[in-house]
Amino acid sequence: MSLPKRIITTLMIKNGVLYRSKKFKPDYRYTLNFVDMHSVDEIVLLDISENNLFNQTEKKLFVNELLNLAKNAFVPFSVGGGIRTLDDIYFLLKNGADRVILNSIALENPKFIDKASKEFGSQCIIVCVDVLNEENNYFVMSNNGKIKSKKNLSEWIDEIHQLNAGEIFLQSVNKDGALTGYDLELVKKINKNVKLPLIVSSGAGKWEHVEKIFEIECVSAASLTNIFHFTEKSIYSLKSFLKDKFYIRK
Amino acid sequence: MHEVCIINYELGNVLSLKNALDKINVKSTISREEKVISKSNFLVLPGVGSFEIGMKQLEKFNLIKILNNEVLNNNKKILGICLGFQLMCKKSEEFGKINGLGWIDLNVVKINTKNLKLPHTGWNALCDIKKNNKLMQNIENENFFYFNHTFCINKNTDEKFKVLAKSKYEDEFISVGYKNNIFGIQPHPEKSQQNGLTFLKNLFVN
Repeated sequence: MSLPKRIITTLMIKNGVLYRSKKFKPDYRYTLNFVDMHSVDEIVLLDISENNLFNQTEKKLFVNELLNLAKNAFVPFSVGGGIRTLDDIYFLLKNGADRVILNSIALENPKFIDKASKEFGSQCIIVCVDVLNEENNYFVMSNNGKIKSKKNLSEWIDEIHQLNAGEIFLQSVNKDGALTGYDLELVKKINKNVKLPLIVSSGAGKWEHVEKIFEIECVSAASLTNIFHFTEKSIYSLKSFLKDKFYIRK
Repeated sequence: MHEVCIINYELGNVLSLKNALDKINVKSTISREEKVISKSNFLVLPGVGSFEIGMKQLEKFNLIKILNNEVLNNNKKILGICLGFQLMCKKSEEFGKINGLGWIDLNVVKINTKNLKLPHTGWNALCDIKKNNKLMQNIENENFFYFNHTFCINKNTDEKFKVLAKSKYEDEFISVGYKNNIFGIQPHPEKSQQNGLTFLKNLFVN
């Protein structure tokens, strides 16, 4: 039997402050304490600071958040933003990460995916794929979703498999912060290509959206980004909603 | 109560492990210094990495000899987690055939599945739990643990190795087991919420 579908809370940190999504301003009323640690299956923590390289002061603020969060949350942490070297990965693992997410570096130097997998094992390496939908043409985006890359979506998905990645984290640039549901067409388009575990992110605004995305075969996990969901027990209530329809961890 | 040394061979989520031990009030140090290793009375070999690099890192920090001596001559207790468990075995077929520490006569092979995704990433249940063993106290069949691996040990080929729990992902593989002072667990107890903390408590506190 396949594994229970995972519910993931994705937290975006910009200059050390929690963002609800890239499109929105930070909301200081909420803190990381709102994450429902008892029910969530995994935490994704992304550094979306403009300067997110590992020699920047913003990274120190980010890592402080990671350290604080990891101290009391005994669930897996997948951490990304600004990774460019094997040392960066080692640094994150030393500071509370269990897995890492590669963004820009994966497109700039695809061989780095393979190099990182050989070092840390495939299971540690997640590749983020940012996609823009422009009149039903799908573009693989680089630079945090800002610039169109030359990669063809299906070919890039295949390439990520060949480079020994362990999982794909799929983000939709259009759906980021939209609360109108995941990009189902996008996921259906790549359904046959995806043999790796797949986390789908961007767009969830209500429980039914998660139900719809879980109906697509290739989806292993749904990521929920917005502060809207961070009330206590929210993941629990989502899981109660889903439990009769899908295999979910109680 | 044991003082634990988490072996730092620059592979592995060492802080996650320390946080979990802190939570159950077990004092631990992250180190690869011989005097810290020999002073502590329980060792943990964590593991997020590939088998080949794992062995290379142990070699690079001169840890193989130190660990062999502590574990085989001094009978110091050691827990291997995920890759750490696999490294204690005889050999692995990950990225070629590579020899491990060889403390347990087991082989590490790719998870045998035709229809399911690899890596085996996510929450899976333990089954066939040997409930009379104190390590498995308060852990029930169907309790979930967090797994994240592509390779596993699916056959017990060491007559002194006792299997305490299995898991199923199309095929069965060994999730928890021990041989004398050597303990191994395939999922990540430090990332498995209450069930994981219970396992660590059974091992380190009770």
